[in-house]
Amino acid sequence: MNMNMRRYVYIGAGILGIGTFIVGLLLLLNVRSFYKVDYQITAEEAEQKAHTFLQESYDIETGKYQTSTQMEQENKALAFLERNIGQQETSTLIENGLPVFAYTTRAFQAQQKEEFKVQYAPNGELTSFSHSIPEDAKKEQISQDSALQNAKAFLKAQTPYEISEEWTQITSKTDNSLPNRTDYTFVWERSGYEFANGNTLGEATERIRMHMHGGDVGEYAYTPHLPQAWVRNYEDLQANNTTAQMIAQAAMVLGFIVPILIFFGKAVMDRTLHPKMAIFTGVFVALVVLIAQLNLFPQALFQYPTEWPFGIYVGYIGIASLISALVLGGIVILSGATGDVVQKQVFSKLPSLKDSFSSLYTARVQKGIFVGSILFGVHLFVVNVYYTVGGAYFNFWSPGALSVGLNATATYLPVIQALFIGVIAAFSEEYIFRMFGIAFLKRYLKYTWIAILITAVVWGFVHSSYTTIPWFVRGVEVTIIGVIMGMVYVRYGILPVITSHFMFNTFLMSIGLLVLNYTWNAIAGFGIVSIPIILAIIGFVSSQRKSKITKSEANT
Amino acid sequence: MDASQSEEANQKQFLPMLYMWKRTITVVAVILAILGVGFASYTIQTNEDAARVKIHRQEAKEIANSELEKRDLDPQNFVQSIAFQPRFAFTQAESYIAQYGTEQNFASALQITGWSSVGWTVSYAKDGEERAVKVRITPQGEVSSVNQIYPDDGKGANLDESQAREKVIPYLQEERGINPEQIEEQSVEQTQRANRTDYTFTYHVSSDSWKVNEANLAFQVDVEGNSVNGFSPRVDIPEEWRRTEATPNGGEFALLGLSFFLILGALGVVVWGFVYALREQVMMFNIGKWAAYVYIGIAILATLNALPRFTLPYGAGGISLNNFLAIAIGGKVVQIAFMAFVVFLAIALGIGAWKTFMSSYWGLKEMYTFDRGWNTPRIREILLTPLVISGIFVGSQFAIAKLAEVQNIYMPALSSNGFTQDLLTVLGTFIPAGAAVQGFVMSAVLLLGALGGVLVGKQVLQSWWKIFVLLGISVMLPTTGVLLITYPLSTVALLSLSTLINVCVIGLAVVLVLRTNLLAYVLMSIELMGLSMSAALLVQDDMWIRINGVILLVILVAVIYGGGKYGIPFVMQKMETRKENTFKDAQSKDQ
Repeated sequence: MNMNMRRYVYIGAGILGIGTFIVGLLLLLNVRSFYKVDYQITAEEAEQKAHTFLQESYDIETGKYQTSTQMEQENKALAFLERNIGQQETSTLIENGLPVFAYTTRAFQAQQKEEFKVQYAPNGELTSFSHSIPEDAKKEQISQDSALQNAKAFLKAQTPYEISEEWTQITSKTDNSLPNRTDYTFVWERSGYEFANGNTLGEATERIRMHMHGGDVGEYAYTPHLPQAWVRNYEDLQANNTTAQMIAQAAMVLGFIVPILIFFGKAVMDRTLHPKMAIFTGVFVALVVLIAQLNLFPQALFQYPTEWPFGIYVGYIGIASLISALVLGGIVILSGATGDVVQKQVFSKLPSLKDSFSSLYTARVQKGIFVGSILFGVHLFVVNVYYTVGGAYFNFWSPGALSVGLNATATYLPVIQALFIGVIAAFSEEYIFRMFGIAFLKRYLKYTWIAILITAVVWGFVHSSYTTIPWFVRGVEVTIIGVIMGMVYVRYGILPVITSHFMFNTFLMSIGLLVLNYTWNAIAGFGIVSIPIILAIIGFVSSQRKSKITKSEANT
Repeated sequence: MDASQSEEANQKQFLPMLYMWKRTITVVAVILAILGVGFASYTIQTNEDAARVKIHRQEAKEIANSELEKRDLDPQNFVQSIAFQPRFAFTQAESYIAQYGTEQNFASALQITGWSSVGWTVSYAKDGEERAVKVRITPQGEVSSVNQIYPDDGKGANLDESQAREKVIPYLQEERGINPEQIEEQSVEQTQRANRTDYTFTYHVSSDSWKVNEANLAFQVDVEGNSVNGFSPRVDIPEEWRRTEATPNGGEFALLGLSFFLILGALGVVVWGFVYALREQVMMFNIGKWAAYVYIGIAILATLNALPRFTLPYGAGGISLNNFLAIAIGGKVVQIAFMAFVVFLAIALGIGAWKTFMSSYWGLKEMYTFDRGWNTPRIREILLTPLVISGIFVGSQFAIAKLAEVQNIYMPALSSNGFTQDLLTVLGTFIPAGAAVQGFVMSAVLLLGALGGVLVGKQVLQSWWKIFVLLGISVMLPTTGVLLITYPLSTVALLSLSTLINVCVIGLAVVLVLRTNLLAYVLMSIELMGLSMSAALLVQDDMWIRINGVILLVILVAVIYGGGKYGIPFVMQKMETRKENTFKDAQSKDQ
């Protein structure tokens, strides 16, 4: 191929990458997946509202309490609504205060039983509150009727719900077992209520639960209550996915993980192991994991068992973070080093790990990143066309991607989680499935296409973790991507597939952050996505300049 | 002939009868002493009335079936499973009673409400229906609790509170044998369902009948529509105790933290040891491979033996039976494959390391064949050594438990209470002795791998002392640290002492192995596990369980004697034949 021809091929490939990226993005944002919820409050505002509520209602100095806020999601309720009334209508219900998706703030003190949890819906309405106090705390003894009146008064004053005739009281409990007070519990239910947009919850109902410590409110919770039969069917659907995932995981352990260990041992015996670059990438992954784990500390605070001394808990989190960093780093080193050896034996023409990550100035690395970037666009395109066409013609259903980026809400810097998801999956999965997996299977099965297909199927169904209809939708989606990635791998080596995988995961997480109103973090996430491209351009420009200088020096 | 053999020959020549008698008496005395200490330890440390098993699996199932029939449910319409389990939910209460109460409190809690920390669980579930029943039965055959899941929209009566209470009181008297005057109602919860009204009543047993410090013996009764569908006893312990006593302090946590790093360090050393063993071509993969195949066979048999409890986690509604079975079988396959891989590595390393580094020691054939009966001192030594070590182990645990008792600290001896409960989980299988065999084979294999690691470590560090100190620290500290979670009420000092003794026992075992042979090591773990398991089975009151204890002893003797009489000579002969054939092949090729 002459220079001009090669240039046209590159331009064509670039257009393909940009085109597929744009179409994929449009489909992602407009046709499927993301709920369009208008968030009237942010996580910080929800926490501020919680502080104000506690100061005004309980006269407590919130400054004395440690607080942590995170977004919580009711997956089953969300799936029920999406399946029964549709995604757009569900979004409207969420905007109107249905707490399937809400900010929860926890206020606590180390080694004190007393703590508060305050939850706000995206529209700023109070949807749940709890005040935990010691079992032996003393409260005024009042009758069940008086407690009931207090509960109703709280609902009227603090929430949008007033107990009227449309609410039926379904539960009442009187608990005399506590040493210094009597507790009461009341539950009300409402069915068929029409929300502002005219929607109802279908067969589901709304429930309000109030737990009273004597005359004081101990707990208030407003929740959708799903029909038992629906929940049972949904769990069985989920079990189909779990079964498929489990079989794929078994295949992964027996077919890839155990052989990696065996081949690692063999490579050590034969002294063919050159793990320097695998160790380098493993250490990089371990560092990213460690930073991401520490970044998740607010989430750890949310789960802090208050009976533990605080310092001990911090130490525990530190140790757990270190262990997970070492384990994940170790997996990357083991699979990378072994994959490199097996790849060399089977696909001798493919660049080794060392060559793949050697220098940005080499054409091989620049080309690898270029191909990876195009593959990222193709990946986005294929996934979204798959679901759009599948949804329109084959009744495919997969839950709205509301949870993408959800655990980033309780972090110091949400964008770090986007980086984490990108890095960990790209290195570990590509090393195990592509670099080791395809080379290993090809060695015994002879046919490359069978090796690509088997690894893609196993990799695909390992991702089959959440409920879809039919059950194989997610597995097939990732299998298709696995086949494309496998084909690119056997042609160009490991760098393009790692680049593409990293860009896709980080991009999706960044979109999630954008949807959740973390605009600056999302922008930073998009910046991280473009890092490989920027590096390749810098490398390309520098190498071009170097070669020009070298040429002019030679001419001189 | 070496000096010891000539001395033995002289003794036999002059005092043959005396020599025989002395030997036999020694063997019998040691065995009896070990069994005696084990039994005594078990009996003293266990809440004997509460934990002694008087019924076997089939009897427990029949009792549970009759409980269903009382509720007009046909057991045959349900997916059934049964297991003998410790009740982990009761562990904290057990600690509290042990700390503030007496043995009598356990017995009376069992007698009044059926509260028991171990027992049979019989589970019934319907595929695709929101309907399941779980019946718990005490080891003595009393129904401890019944929990029924009934659909929210199931039909039933709409009783008022007093009508529901009228249902409960006769039920407690007639079915549970509870005197209403002994109890105080604490709470009542009423729930209006679509087609019925449900109630949950909670009672405390009055403090005249049962009192341990601030704890209360309680139970809950569920009335669904017109029928009493649930009964669950429990011990309510004060919240303050739960929060403070079960939390590690700074020193304990520091030890725990250190333990994590040591475990991590030990894992690193293991990986490094494997890399070293691989590079030095120490590992014998062929033997490892065959051991893995044998393990897979044993594991499949053990899984089939444990079929009665296979569907225990399968509950009402939700996941269908087919999906459950697919997930459970898939999980089992992965588990067996993973463990087979561990066996492969452990055997390849253990035997390989012995062959490579200890080749000057006695060979397998010289050490362990019964061709000459008991007439080799080494055979006696390798068979008696494990018994002596077992005795030291059991005795030390007994002493530690006594020390804890004197200091009023809750710390059951590892060799008895908690340990025995684990052993008793084999009761839910078709043949408990079979399940026990898998346990001790696995234990022997893992110890073999560990010994391989010790031998590789010796090669690298060139010092036995360094190895023992490292082994001691890396075993003792993590064990003590991890035990802090299991026994939160014990002290670091006591746990450290206990673990230190264990480390010394392990050290002694390693020293003795190096004096004799690798095989002694394997035999030791088989004997140790086998004897403690058969002891745990033999002390139960049920005949079938005792028979299993005897079967286990027979298997133990068969493994040891049969292996020596037929197994080892056969394997050795095969290996020699193969070696000769290989040599002949090589010769013919050369020609």
